[in-house]
Amino acid sequence: MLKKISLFLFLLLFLISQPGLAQELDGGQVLKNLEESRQAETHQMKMKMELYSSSGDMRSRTMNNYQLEGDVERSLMQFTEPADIRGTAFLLLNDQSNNQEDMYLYLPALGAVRKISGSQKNGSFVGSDLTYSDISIFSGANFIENYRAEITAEDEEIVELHLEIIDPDIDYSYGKMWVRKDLWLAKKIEYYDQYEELIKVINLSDFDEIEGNRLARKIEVENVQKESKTILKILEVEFDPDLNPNIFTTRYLQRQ
Amino acid sequence: MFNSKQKNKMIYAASILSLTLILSFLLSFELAAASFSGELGSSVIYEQETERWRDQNSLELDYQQYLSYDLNYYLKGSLTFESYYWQDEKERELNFEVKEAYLNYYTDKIDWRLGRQNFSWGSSYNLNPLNYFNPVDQNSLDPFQNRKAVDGIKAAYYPSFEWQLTGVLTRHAEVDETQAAVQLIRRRWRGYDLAFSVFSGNSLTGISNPGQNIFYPELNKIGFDFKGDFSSKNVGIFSEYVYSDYQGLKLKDTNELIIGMDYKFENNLYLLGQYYYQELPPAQTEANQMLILRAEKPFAYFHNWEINLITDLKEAMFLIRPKLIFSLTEGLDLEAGAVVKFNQKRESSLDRLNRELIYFSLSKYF
Repeated sequence: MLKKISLFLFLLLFLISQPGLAQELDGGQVLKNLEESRQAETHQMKMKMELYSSSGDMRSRTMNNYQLEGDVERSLMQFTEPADIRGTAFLLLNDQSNNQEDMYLYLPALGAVRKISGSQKNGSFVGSDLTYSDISIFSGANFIENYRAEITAEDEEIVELHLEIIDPDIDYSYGKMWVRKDLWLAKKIEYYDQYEELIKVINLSDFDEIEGNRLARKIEVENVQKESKTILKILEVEFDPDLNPNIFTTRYLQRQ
Repeated sequence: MFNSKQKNKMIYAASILSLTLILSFLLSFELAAASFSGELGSSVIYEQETERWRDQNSLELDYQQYLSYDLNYYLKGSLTFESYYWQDEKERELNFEVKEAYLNYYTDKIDWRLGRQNFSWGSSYNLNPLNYFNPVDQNSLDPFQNRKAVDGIKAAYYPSFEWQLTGVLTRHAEVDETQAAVQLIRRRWRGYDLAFSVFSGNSLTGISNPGQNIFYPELNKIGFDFKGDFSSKNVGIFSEYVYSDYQGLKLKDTNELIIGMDYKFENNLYLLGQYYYQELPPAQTEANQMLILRAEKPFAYFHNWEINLITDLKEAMFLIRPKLIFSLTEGLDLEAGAVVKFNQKRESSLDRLNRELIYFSLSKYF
């Protein structure tokens, strides 16, 4: 009996002495881990977006996205397919220190660059089930600035979080996120509307790691209220490419 | 020498030949550095005032090729075949038009564009007093949205991201006179883009005196516009102002002002409101005042509706332009729309610029 008690105490002492287990994981730490899964300062991606209506009809869009972190976050999105929106481009400049965000749109039919109002971000992203804030999740989101997280369940593989929204630009009332502990990437996210009804389910899959940066190559977004679905596939990706800052200018947009 | 039937046939043959030559020319190039797209359209239009049916079939081609990193050219042409049906008469017309054709050349700080082009100056919706060069296309379904390209040269100097200085020299769309303008843009000033411009040339709008032809008076203009957001809700606000100084004629100097706001809601409803004040150069003519309201929203996921309400406050006349766009399959759209006038007055500029009509059009993009 004494042997068993000694063995139990020894095992307990051994487990407590393990640094990984002694440090209790909290929601803030999980969000930090999620942010650290993407270290790159810049990226360029080729993406395909498939939009499915409730009746199953499908339309697709192909686009190139370039992003540059810094004092001013810069993002350029160029549409390459289909033909009716080919050449359309968005430039987003987010100066967080001065709380200033500027958006520019280039429309080939107009042949000119126009500044567009910030409220354009209220609606869906190019007619999909994604909002502009959803897009940021897949392109290296500022999780810590957008959410406050609390762990609601945890096992060896998955941490389940309750997300309190702290960014006023995000219109959900709250969210739930399931995070893979081996990759520190979200596997599934649920968002709830202002009436606390489930509105959106996001499933992430085809996980990959490129030069120390982890990402999901396939993101499936289902609007359960409208019964529509958007699938975003990352076809090509390059982290920390040598991007010329001049491409994030209205001058470059005008050259499309 | 030729009757109209023979003339039509010759124009038709010449247009087909031109199009074939253009396509052969395009396809002979290495397409890796080129982009090629187009639109095949077919429309049926009923004009209520003249009780005339019109069907219009068109092929529009866009082609851009990079000759080097800093040199490229762009061509946009359209071949249109139109038939008019009025009472028992029928008329056909074939038209080939080079809509835009220009060469771009980029240097370290200056971007040059030479050839037929549009200059989309100004921040407001459709009505742009700051567009000094491109006249509205009165033959199009929506003349407010379509302007004709003109031949000219543009040089845009970019000393930094925030600043842009643009110089333009063009020929006037109607008279053989050179037009010149300079525009200075300051971007991202406390969330606003500001532009100041000066122009010397001729009025884009013709003035007619009794017993005389339409003429385009010489004038100088000073313009200012801005666009940005206000309030924590990011409501868009924009404005254009132009002062016109008419030269050597008994025409009074005029002011034009547009001020407007726009906002997009979470349910994708987009609303825009814009007020337009326009003084007219003939003495003792009362200024025009218009109010434009626009609403737009997607429905059933892939489709879109849009409605424009334009009111002439001076003449108390207004018109409604509803439009539905159905996406039938990828790249194939069916559009149905109308222009309906209320309290129609001949004196109103709204009446002159818009025909009452109903239309259906099918567009295939490639």
